[in-house]
Amino acid sequence: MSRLEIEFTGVAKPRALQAMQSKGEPAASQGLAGIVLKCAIWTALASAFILLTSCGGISFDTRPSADIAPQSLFMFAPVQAPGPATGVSALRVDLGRRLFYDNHLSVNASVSCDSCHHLAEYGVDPGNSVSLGHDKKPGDRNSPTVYNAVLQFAQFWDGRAATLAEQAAGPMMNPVEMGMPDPMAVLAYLHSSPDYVRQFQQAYPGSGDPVLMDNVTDAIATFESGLITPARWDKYLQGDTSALSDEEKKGLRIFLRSGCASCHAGKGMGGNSYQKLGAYRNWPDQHTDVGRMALTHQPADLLYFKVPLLRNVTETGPWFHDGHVKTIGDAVRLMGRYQSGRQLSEDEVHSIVLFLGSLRGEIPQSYIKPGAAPPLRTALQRSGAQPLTSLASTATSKGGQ
Amino acid sequence: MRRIIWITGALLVLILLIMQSRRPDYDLPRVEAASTFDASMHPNSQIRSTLHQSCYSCHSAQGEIPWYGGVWPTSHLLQKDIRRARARLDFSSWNNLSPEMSRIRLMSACQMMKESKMPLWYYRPLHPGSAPSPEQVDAFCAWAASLPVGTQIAGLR
Repeated sequence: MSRLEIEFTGVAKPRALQAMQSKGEPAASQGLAGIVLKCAIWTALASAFILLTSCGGISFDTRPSADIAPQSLFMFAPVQAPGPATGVSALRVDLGRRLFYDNHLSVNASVSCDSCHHLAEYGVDPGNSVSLGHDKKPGDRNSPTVYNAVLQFAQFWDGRAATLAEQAAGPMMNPVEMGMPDPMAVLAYLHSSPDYVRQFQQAYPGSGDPVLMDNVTDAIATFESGLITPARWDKYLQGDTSALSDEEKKGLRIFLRSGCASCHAGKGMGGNSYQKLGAYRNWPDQHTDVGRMALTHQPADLLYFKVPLLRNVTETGPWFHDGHVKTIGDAVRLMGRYQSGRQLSEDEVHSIVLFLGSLRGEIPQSYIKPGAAPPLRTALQRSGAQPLTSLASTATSKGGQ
Repeated sequence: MRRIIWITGALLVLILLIMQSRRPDYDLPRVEAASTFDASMHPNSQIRSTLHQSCYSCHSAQGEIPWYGGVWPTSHLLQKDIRRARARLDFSSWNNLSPEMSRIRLMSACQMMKESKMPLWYYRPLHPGSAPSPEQVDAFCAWAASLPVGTQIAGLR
């Protein structure tokens, strides 16, 4: 593990000497008491300066009723609930939904996408720091929510998939997660179901065999693209100042003042940049998960992770890339300490958490309602396809979260 | 009286000397040219000059640490300022931002400079010439505002 190289640009000592020489008076001509006094004054002044700048911060109006200037909110943008899909898009959404819930896309028919991203529970695996795969082995990272994931500029905690479709292919073939040995195993299963084949043909009309991995991942991605959860926050951004309570507005002001919006901004309130965990203060664990450095092999990427979305964040615990943070209050507190360089008071944490609650949208129940499950086992047995449970998986790739 | 000053001064000097053992951790990685703001955004020379002159000391890993950045207690202050600054805006790792966030960061920088919140009040006297002129700020803001808005959200209906 290589440590980050700290460059002082080689100027400290020469400049220090230059500065001392430019003062004109040789140190030898001053009395010892004078030097001591100067050092003392320097220390006292610098210390006072540190105290002054540390405690000051940006002043802001703490009155709960105070309005928030619109120019303070330019970095945010509202989202809208997607309209109903039509045409082939609707067919792809239906197919994607079916695939999302289908545990036969895993080697033991034991887990589906929904197993780690419970749609009924804001798209995460509540209570589990990391999710368990097809053979109950834990994954490497916490399962991020699939809600609003389309708003992100990249997928996975380390951003190694550029799109939802690219992401969707990851867990299926991941040996710890769904454990399919290769794409052919997935396609063999789908081909074994006439119902699936018919559904693919309708959703991806044209010549040739539509049961392709590209179409599998595209259908899942199309379904996931509709998992948008507008919240009271969006109404507020659209001008409804009553959408947030006074306490929530107070939390928003603290959120802004603390610099949270430097990273948690945009439509998703995050998901649009990589940031170093421990940007302000070194993160205690520098080695267990090195973040994007494992992907890029660049020391500069040590502990860089994709900034997670804050939409529905109060519901998507446990938090952080390893899911070790069990309460949203602790998550806010740690972010303040390690990212913003602010020791947030209990009152400030409470206010920010209240504000974060305004980012919680409604789960689109009708959109996520699973369709009728086809007799998949029967179809598989009838076709004579190789039973998926017998397909061995090889542990080679990185965890899929 | 003289004795009290002597003792107090000597104690402070002792503290000062002991505290020098605390090396600042500026967390300045080696900068890859391809990951910088200049390489990502191709600003014209005027914009580039404005940002380098006013922002890069703290908001990049490319700034020079002054001599007092190696001496406690100012090293402590500088470390805090630079790490906080780079957490919020880092011109050295612009490739970590989406187009949406890139624009947000630049518009925030524009706002901070327009409101004279940046460079910080205590930074300016220590770095004469660091404060951008109103014309420079206007030119920067106009350039930032001309950038394409946000990300293309594929699949969002």
